[in-house]
Amino acid sequence: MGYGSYLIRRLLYTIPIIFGISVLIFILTRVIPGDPVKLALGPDATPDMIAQARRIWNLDKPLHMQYIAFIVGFFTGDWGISLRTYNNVLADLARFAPATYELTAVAVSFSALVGILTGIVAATHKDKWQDHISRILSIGGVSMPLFWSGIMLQLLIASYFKLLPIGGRIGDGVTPPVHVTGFYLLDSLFSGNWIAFWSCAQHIILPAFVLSFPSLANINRLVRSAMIDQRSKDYVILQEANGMPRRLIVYKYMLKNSLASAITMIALMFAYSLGGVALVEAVFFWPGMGNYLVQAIHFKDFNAIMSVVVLVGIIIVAANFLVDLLYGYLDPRIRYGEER
Amino acid sequence: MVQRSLQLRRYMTASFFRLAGIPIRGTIKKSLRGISVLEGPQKYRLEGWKRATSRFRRNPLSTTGLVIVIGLVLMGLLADYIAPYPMDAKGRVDFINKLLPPSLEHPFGTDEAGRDVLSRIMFGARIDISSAVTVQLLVTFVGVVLGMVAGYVGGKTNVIIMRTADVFITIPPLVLALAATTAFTPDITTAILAVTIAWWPWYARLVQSVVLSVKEEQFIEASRAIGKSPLSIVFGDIFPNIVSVVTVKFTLDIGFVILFMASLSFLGLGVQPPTPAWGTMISEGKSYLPERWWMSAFPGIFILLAVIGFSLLGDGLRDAFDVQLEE
Amino acid sequence: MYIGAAVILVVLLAVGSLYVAPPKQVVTQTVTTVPTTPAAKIWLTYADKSSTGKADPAVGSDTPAHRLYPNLYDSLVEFDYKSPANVIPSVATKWDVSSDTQVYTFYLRQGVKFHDGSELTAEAVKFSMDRMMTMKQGVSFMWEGRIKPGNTEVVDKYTVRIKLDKKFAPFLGTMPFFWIVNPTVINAHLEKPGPFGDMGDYGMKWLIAGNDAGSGPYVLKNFKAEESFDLERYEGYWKGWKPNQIYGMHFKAVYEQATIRQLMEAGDCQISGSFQTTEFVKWADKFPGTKVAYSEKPLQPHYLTMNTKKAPFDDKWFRKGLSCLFDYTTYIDQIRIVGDQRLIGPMPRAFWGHNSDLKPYEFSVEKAKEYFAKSKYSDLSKVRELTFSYINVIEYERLAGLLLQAKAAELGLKIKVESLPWGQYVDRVSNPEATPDIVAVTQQGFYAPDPDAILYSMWHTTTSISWSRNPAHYNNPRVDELLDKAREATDQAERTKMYQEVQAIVNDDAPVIFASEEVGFTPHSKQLNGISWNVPYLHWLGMYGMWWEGAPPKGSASAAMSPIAAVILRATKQFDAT
Repeated sequence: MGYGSYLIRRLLYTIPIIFGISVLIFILTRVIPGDPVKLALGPDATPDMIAQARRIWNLDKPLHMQYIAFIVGFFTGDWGISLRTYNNVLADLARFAPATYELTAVAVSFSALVGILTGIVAATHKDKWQDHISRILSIGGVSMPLFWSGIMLQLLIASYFKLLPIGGRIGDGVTPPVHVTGFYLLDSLFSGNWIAFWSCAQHIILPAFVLSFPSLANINRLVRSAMIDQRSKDYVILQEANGMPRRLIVYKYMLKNSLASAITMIALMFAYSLGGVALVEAVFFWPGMGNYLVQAIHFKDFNAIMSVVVLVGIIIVAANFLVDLLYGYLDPRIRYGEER
Repeated sequence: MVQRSLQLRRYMTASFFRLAGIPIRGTIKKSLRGISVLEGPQKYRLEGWKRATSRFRRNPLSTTGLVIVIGLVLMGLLADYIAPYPMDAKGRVDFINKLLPPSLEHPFGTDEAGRDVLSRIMFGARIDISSAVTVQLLVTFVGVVLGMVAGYVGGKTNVIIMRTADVFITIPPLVLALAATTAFTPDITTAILAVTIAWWPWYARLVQSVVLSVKEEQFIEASRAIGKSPLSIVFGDIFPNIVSVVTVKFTLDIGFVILFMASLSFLGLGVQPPTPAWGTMISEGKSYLPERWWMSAFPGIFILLAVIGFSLLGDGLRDAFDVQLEE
Repeated sequence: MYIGAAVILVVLLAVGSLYVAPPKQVVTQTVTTVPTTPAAKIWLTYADKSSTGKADPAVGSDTPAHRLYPNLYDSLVEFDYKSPANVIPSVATKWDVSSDTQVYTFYLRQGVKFHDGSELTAEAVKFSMDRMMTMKQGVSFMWEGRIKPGNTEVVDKYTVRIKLDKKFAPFLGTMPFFWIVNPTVINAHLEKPGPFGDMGDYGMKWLIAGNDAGSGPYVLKNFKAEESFDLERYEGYWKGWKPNQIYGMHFKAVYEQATIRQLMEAGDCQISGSFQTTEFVKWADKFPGTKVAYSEKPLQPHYLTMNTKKAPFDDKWFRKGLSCLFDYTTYIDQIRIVGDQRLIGPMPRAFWGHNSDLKPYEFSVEKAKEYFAKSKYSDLSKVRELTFSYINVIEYERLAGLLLQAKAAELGLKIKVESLPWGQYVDRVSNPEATPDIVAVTQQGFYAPDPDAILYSMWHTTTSISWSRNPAHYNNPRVDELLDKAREATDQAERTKMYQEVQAIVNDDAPVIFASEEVGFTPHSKQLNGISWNVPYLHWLGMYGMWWEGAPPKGSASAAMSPIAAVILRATKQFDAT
């Protein structure tokens, strides 16, 4: 069971999953009462126009043909036309997706950083007040409705104290940085555009903070329990007996062993956050995929809906695969291909 | 060896999901240990209950959870009697008194149609909790049936059902539920259906793994040896073991279903106005921020309370029944 | 533990530095100091709860569309912003009407340039009209049955003739909605194959992607569908430019009321639209930096339409009964707040030919009971649950629904209030089976205060298929007959008589609840002038007629920034305010 064959097995597993997702979402969105074509063409379309459009958009063919067209189109980059924006969905997503990734990346980074730190604190002060506070915050973090906490923070910080902007991705009148990655923060750093950088930073703080709550809570709990597990391990007891300073034990050894699993967790957190990001985007009117999806659903824009869901599915599958990759690499037992 | 490391990762994943109360794989722990083959699950049931209740009572967090849950449920059931302005939740409007801040007459203020926010929150408890319970019942039914079939029959059926569940799980639940609402007009039935579609796979997986592990327990072999019919094995032996696991998960999840449905309503795709549901109240109140903060603030606090209450309760139940939801 | 604390401290410091100076917008655009320097480029920000619209002038017919077209394109004639909506010459300097009123000859002015530099000639006019009537979308319904592709002919370079197949008295009033596009540009961007044969898609895709083929005062830039777009001045506009006119407008789609409010409060948004909550309007009235422009005479009727094709609305007495259950006063005074008037009959009083003899329905439970008793469905508790639908971004419509629901409940009639996204609404009203029971609509007048604009499009049977027209699916042969005759008649007194009869019939039939004459409003910065509400189409935005007084809008000033940022900027020599 070498690393290679391990990877290949994982990879093979992902293909039917993605296939399944596409079938599922296809079924879900084609079972639409009402006529999306009439919707798109507007109220004054004549029956000719409607028939014509139906032909162009392949809606007059039987379902399985439509599905095949969809799959083929997916690989050739033709993800259909959005009935709402009249653009190619791929072009739309290329515009909106980076915003979502950026937000999620910042949120997950923040939750990872703070989560690990607070997890260590909670573990090293088990059952003391630090631990209890951390536990309360964790339960709160997971239980709080994201949209509500977003609104409350928006209210307090943006409206009352006017410390941060109320929403959006970049200030009015500030020209967005030259497009390199689509991540405004990175792009503005690359081009040395400090004004844009500060504006984007201010705008991303609140939504990222809100989005990070649930992940933060989970990472906190995870690191805490992993560290506590480690504590009872033999090597720690040995080191303590030998008189090694506590801090050294914690940070050099215990943390490293806990981190391996924490890191894999972070990739999963990214995927998990993609669910809640729609809510945060709605509250802070962040022009991302989540908002796009919600608008698409209101409009019954089935091309857009399908594409977004499949894209998200792929991301998650990829994230899981990455986790397997990383984990397999980190765990020497897998890397050096032990005998079964 | 690969299995081991994957198991380790799954443990970590499971810990994360544990907080959210969603197991990856669940097994019945060694509570079954020490049960004689012939007595089977009956003895477990009796002893289990006694131990469970005492363990539960000793844990302050779970009692807190129970108190919160009972409080909310009672609030919903008795809303007609304890709400100061019950008609405000049933369609009465009073535009002259709209948007009043919290006061003695209206502890949580009034909303944009002059309705008392406190009364609406009380009636909202009804809608939110009952629809969450409905979802859970549906999901449990679907999950249990599919899980049992998959676990007991095994083989190809098992693979098909589990793979399908995997497909559903891979998509983030909110995204899946949103997509599922496309086909229908937004209202409460749609929301219930959508959440069911997003939620059932967890239960199916849980039940399936329970069935699988129980299947291998000795007393099942013994039962089969004696000649008990498959149906009676399923219902007599396997089923009782599923009950405790499912009950725990059922309770744990109600809070999160409430949260989930509130998110759908907030996006305009769930419960429709003027039904007082907490999520819709928050979204309706949004347009009147920042001065009129009370319409959005208070329902959110109740959602938070509900989730915490059910989580604590479910956690307590899990500890009490000594059910381990990870391997 | 200490490392953790150190990290947190650093983070706090970094974040804190952002707060040292309040984070105002910093802009790379120039201009600070003196008001009314000719160099000052006035950029406005317009934030509203609506989409960016379809940029093809032959496709759009709604509010977002009319934010774009008057600014990007020219028409033969235009509405007079300075006085009650009259039609004055624009690209056409004068016009002749034949004696049978079916042939219009327009004489174009010379030297009107499209944005690409080419000249606007009669050829362009013909091309545009043919295009409009071939594509048959947008506002083409105005000329449906009267103009076909080919009816327009080029007489010479600056003269164009339009033949009407039937007489059409309000014709001239509809012409401000006919936009002239640049044939060269369109022809260069045809996508074939397309639905229009040789012309492919007639350039529709290219236009909607965010391009313009116009000659109007502004050019469309940076179009991001459903998000934002910019309108930037076209210096070669034939009317010329004066100082203090608006240089550019940056539109943002913002769906959150609180956000629009904050933007206006901070001075980051100078103008917004009519979809705000009336609470917001009250705030804008009081806030020192803003004020609200109201339409001088309400020109839009707001109806709660009833689907007359479905029981129980097929019974006239039932409808009359429901009309008496709507609390008009509360709606106007408490919900709308902005000064609406009672709507008497189907047409607002601002239109000539209003029938002042009509008796409006009043809120009265007694009267309602009387009417219900006369109807087939006198036992209200047996009537099925009715649905009241409203467009989901419009708050006051929702409140109207709650109001009706509450009063109806007192008599045992059950009504459910449901929100509809715009797209779904459009879809459902085209089919009498799927049309909601009760829908809140604001009728658009479209063209100059000719009763035909309001009455024909709403009450004639042939128009009962589209969103702005007739979700009540009302058919009355006598009304049809009168409307057809009135359209073609030329004598105003004669037309008045016919329209008055139409109003009387419709009022009596009560196919809709006549909720109010709606006042349109535009919240805007006090320094912005020239917002005109004399235009019948509620959300028409004509930026050319606006001008700015005083210091340029906030976005143009260089603002304070946090010390760290300033240090960095200076270090990298980017700190350059001019």
